[in-house]
Amino acid sequence: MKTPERNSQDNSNAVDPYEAAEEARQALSGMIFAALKMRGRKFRAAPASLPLTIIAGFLGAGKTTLLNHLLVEPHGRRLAVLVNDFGSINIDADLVSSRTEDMISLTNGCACCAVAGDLTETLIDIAEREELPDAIVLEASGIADTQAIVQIALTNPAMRVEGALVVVDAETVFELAEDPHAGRLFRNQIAAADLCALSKLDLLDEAGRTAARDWLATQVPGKPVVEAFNGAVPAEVVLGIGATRHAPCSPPVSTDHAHDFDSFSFTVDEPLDGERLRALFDSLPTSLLRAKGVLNLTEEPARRTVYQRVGERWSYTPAAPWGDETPRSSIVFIGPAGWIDRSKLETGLDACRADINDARPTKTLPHKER
Amino acid sequence: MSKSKVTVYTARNVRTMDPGRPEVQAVAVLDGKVLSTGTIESMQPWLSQYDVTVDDTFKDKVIMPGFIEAHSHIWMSAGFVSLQYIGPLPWPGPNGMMKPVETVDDILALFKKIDAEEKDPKKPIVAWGYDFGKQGGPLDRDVLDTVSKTRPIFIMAWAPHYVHLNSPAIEMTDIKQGDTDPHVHHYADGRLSGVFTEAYGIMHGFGPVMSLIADASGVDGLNYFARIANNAGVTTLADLIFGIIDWDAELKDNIAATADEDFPVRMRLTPHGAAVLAKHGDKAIDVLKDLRKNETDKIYFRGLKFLTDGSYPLMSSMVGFPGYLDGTNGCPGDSASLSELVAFMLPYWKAGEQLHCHANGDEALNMTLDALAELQKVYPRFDHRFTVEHYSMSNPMQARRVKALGAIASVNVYFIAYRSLLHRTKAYGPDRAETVARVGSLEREGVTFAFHSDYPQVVVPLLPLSAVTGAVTRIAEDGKTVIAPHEAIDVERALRAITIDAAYILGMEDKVGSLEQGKFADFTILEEDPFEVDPKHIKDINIWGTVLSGKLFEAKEI
Repeated sequence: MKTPERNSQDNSNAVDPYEAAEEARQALSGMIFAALKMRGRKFRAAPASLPLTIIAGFLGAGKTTLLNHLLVEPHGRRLAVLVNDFGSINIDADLVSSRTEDMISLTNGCACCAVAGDLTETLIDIAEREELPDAIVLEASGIADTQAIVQIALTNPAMRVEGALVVVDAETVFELAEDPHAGRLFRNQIAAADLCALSKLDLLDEAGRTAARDWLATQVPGKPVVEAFNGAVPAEVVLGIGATRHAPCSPPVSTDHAHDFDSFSFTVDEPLDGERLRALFDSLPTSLLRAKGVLNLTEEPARRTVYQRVGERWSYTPAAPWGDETPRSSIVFIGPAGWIDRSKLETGLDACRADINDARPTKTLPHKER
Repeated sequence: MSKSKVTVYTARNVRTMDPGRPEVQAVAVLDGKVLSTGTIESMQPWLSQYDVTVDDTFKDKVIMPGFIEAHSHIWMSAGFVSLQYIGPLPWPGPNGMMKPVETVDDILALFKKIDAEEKDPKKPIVAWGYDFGKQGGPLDRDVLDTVSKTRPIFIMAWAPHYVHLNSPAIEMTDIKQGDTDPHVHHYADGRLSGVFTEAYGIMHGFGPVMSLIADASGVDGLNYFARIANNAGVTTLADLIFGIIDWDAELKDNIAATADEDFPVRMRLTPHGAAVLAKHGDKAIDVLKDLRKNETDKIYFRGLKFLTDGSYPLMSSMVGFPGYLDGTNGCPGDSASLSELVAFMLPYWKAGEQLHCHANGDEALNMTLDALAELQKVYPRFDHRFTVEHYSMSNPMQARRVKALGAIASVNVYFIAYRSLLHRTKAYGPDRAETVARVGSLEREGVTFAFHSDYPQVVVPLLPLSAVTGAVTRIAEDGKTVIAPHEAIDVERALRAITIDAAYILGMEDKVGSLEQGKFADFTILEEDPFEVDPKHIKDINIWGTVLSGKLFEAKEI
């Protein structure tokens, strides 16, 4: 069998059994409390309709900088950003439309809310709102176990976890990893995340940057890493592609740091072979950060199949019937600059067309770039 | 007219915890209350008035007043405690500390036994605590199917990053073979292996039983919890946060459970002050008055709970200079500011309510006492019984200030035996770790205090006799190191902290806590006398069971 990798963090660091017991009790207990609170609740939001992204990372790693950026970036989505501490959120007064004790509303439709201790209640409140957000971003407190937060969040049926991103401070990575107190939590946070954002690279020389990148590459081989300068990571990478109800598969919005990333969009009119496509998706470089597609698969001709990818994790989900719309597949991929040759992707996708039997491209893929 | 019936319980010894008549040989019970204590001869003036039965069930045993658990969490935790434990370490379970399950084969043998004994063939086995590193493996679908191919088995690993399911359990999930998520594991032949990891795997893999666990928190859960208390000799259980998850359901279930005459404990439930205020504002006091209309001899709604920091074992207590070993500190409780905390407390304080304030760290204790000082300045009160809950880390002058302000304390002394060495190197450092639970200082300052376990919200057993051993010996978790010996107290004082002084903390000293005329006939029945055994072994004394209002409840293995 494909044995699950035994958590290196479970055995490599000596963990006091009583401490582990306490953590285990806490995590389980938290899930049970959340399930208890959720009993009998009815939500305005449909099941799994609210995409949730978790931003983890140690104190001072740069989570707030990233969130500040996300709140004001012109990505066109109404975000609900949940933070532990308002004090550090720094938004230009011109962009603030109103402010209460526990919420800052922005003119762009986003809102930043303080989580007053109880995440379960906060998420219930959001799912009951009249104006539902397009996406929820949750800042995990510096010392929180990402895993436990995801579990609590997923107890709410309206939530769909889009992924967890961990912000890693390139300057302190070695120090934290070796820290006898914080080291284990630090490594757990990284292991639990789908994507890593390596921050503060601008404060290091080239050798320092390389060392930080290498450390991550050995610690979590295959885990995609985004390099964040001044907290600037495109919304599509942090939140996933097209996390809005209004435009199910909108193209990435270009921003000033777009040159750090390569994103490719394709549309294919011919039905695609799900199995061949699966093999292609499995073979994509692990540096691919996010992908999303609405697919027209031969095995599901009547309805859409949604393809989602965050880091190494991807899935097909059956979605609404095509109805009157002409079935066609559209896919967007985002990775760090140079993650793949566009032509390789083209060739690969072309080979998945169901009308091509020998699985070799015979004609140019009828794609158009958006 | 026939005479009222009186039962006289004789014993090898009766420790009344009434200093006036500390040791007697018999207790006479009338209408569920203590009629008289003494010897059969000395009680004759009373006994001659009644139709008397002498019950010798306890003639070789020791009767004590029913023990009191002054701070636990019941309704919300019942689902958690009902999980089948299969871990590799001793764990506080329903029958006190449970023995570790050594190997994966032992786990399978245990499951086979449960499978054979459980009559409902579809009732899942839901277990937690499996540790691959210590117990070996594998423990996957095919292995679990050897236990049963029809009864679902769900296992949560010790470190909750893995779940392990057998075939019928997998059928109950929404996970399909071929799922490409890296947290869904397959055998080489492509079948699901029943092992799911991390958040995705755990929520989907354990999802089907989460609601079962939640449902176990109703009346059944309360009954289960009461049996745990019964085994520990407890007859009064305080729940120090009532109504925070589902007020109506908690109220209904607690009323229903205690109304059953076979329910072996009295419950004393404390709502969360800030939550009631947030929900009901000006009407908060009226809500409490309405709540108390539900009181019977077995259920009480008393006091309000507040918090000034996080958890001691989860290392989020607020401490003073120089903070934690790593330079960080804990987190605040209800409020980060003193003025806000006082604002939460004031309406209740003015209405004459008792306040219980959670404070683990010394910095949180400062804030708690500052709040009390502020309340006293605004609206002075006597006999208010403001209680500091946990009192984990403190200094001697804080004990003096507790006294000066008229406060009392409910102390988690279990940390002495379960956490003190650990925290020398984790979070708090040796100075604070070794002086955890300074009941000696409280005694020197003349402060009344109780012991509590906080079970099961921290990993210590609910077993008042083990609290007594801990407070008297101050022996740490290695079984030999004595920490801060001058903070130890004697056996008598320690036993008061689980009986009469605990009753005082709960405002129930007129009803329970000692064996005196007029109080409920609530007994704990011990096989040995805690005043006679080596204090190290008080925790090991066999508990026959309890008596509640004269009704016998023999302990049964759960």
